Amino acid sequence: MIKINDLEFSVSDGRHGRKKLIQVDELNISQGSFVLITGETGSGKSTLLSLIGGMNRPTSGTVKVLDRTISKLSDHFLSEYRREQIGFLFQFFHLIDNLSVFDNIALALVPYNLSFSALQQRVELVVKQVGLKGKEDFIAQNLSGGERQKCALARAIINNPSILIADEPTANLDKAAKLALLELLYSFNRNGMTVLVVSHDPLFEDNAIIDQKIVMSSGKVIAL
Amino acid sequence: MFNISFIKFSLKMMFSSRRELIAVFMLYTCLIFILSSFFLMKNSLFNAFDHLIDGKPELIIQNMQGGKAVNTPLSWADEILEIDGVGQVYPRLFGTYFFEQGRDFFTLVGFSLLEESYDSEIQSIIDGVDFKSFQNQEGIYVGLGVQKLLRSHYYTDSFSFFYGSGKKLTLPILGHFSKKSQLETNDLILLSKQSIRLILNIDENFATDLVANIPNPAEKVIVATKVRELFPNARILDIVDLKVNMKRNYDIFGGTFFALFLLPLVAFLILFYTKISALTEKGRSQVAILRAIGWEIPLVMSWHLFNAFFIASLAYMVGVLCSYFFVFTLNAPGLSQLFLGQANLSASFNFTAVIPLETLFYLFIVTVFPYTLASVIPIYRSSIVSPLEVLR
Ligand SMILES: Nc1ncnc2c1ncn2[C@@H]1O[C@H](COP(=O)(O)OP(=O)(O)OP(=O)(O)O)[C@@H](O)[C@H]1O
Ligand SMILES: [Mg+2]
Repeated sequence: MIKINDLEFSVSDGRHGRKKLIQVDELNISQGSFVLITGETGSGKSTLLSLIGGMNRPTSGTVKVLDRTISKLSDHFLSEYRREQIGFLFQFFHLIDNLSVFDNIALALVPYNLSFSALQQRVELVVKQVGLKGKEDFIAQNLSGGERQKCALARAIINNPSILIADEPTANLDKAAKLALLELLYSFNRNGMTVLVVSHDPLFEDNAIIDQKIVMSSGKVIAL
Repeated sequence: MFNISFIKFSLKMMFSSRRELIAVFMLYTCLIFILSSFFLMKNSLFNAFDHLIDGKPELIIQNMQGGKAVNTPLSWADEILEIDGVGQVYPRLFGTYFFEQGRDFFTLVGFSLLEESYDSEIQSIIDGVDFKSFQNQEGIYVGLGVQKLLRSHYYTDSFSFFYGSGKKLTLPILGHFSKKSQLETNDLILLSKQSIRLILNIDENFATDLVANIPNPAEKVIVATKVRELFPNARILDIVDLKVNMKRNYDIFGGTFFALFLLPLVAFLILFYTKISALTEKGRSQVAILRAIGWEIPLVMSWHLFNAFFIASLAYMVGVLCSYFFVFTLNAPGLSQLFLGQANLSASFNFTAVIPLETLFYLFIVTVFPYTLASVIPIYRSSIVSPLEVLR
């Protein structure tokens, strides 16, 4: 489902030329798998996710998702790809703090010309799925960490993406919230969603739900 | 792209950072208020001037002695009438009177019920005067500024002029001039020729000056030359020229006003600069979030375009409405002095509502559009970077 070949990503490094952040010769991830990516800090995990998620374009090589070479898409199609195939979760949630739960989630639907009732229907559905029913009108910054991550999750899955990308999603959550999130991620995975998680959390390590584990070091994949 | 939910969420996001919004809105409203006040005042003033200028072509003839205008003998009038091209000659009686208690000067203008026509200047002044009130008694007709000043010194029904050595002439106040003619009549007192002769001590055989009516304006120069031949010490003035000069004296681009005008302009440029240069961290993260969840660059930009346009238009409307109220209802306290010079009677002026639609439209174009477009530049800049650079 995800096929990576000869992937390289470098950035200009001041005056000295270019700094290679990542180099992955080959990486395949099959559809519907739950993938854990680990590695020491600065090893390129987030960068790899950004390339798969269409937030960055590789310097060279290809990223193919569902037989589509996303590394060559224009911004228009890359935005569409992010919107329709990818859901993101971040360590710091990245909600718009002053907006309500409902509005934060609905923002992901604004690019579509939906009627307000259709939009409302879809938001209500995901709110129920992540267990935030009754909190739609809460302002994001008044939520607990666990609730915020649930809100972000609802926003991530509202367009029913095929891949969910989560970068340290549990780092700011307490034990109970971590378990709840894991439960939710697993339930989406069971329904066919590919889940990529970057995490140091022991919760994911040696967990039976993990189908594939990728270990990175200095921008390279060192173990599969 | 501009569907209901887009507009709805744009507004929601905009109002979510209220403090920034209010700051920008206030600054912008102030700027538009000042610019708009300026234009409304300028327009109202120039409108009044234009009204003044379309008088008939006439020459004013004054008697000069030692470089100073003195009273003109009435005998000149008969000689001037002989000149070809001259229609009529009217003697005029006017002068200034110092009102000691009020420490201000009044302009006295004499008229006679018996004379049927006047020069265009006096005609435009006396247009609204109710002459019936003069038929039975001697009295004065006063400008609004005079009326106000007299009232503050408790002269409500009559006023006493002092002349000669301690003599007093008390005349009833029969009425006041309309607000419409205030630019000309504010410091004016209209009274009979007998009274003005008495007060200003003008002999029966003299007038303050003469106005010669020349039906064919093309002959003005020839007539002027002939008058000069007859009376080498005469000064000959053209009424139209006089009024154009007067307009020029109200030079609005000079001095203080310009300084005041520059201040908001500078503030505007600063605002402009900050708008172009960078977004706040919060603003950048909002853009990154929207980009991450799949908003395309044009959508993110139109979101901000819409926000900026909304704010700027709202500020425009509030600014213009406030300035309308400020200029036409409050009569521009503070600012009008900059236009009209020191605060004396002859300079005070009531701004009559003239709405320069074209100018206001122009103001809209030059303030709302640059701001709107400028605000999109930083949005574009942060749209094109990878959202992940911001969302670590
Ligand atoms: N835009 C950039 N410019 C320069 N260097 C960058 C840029 N983005 C990332 N890096 C560097 O690339 C390396 C990999 O970064 P990345 O964020 O992918 O690591 P990571 O494995 O996610 O680390 P962490 O576990 O701390 O999140 C780091 O050394 C980082 O400093
Ligand atoms: Mg990282």
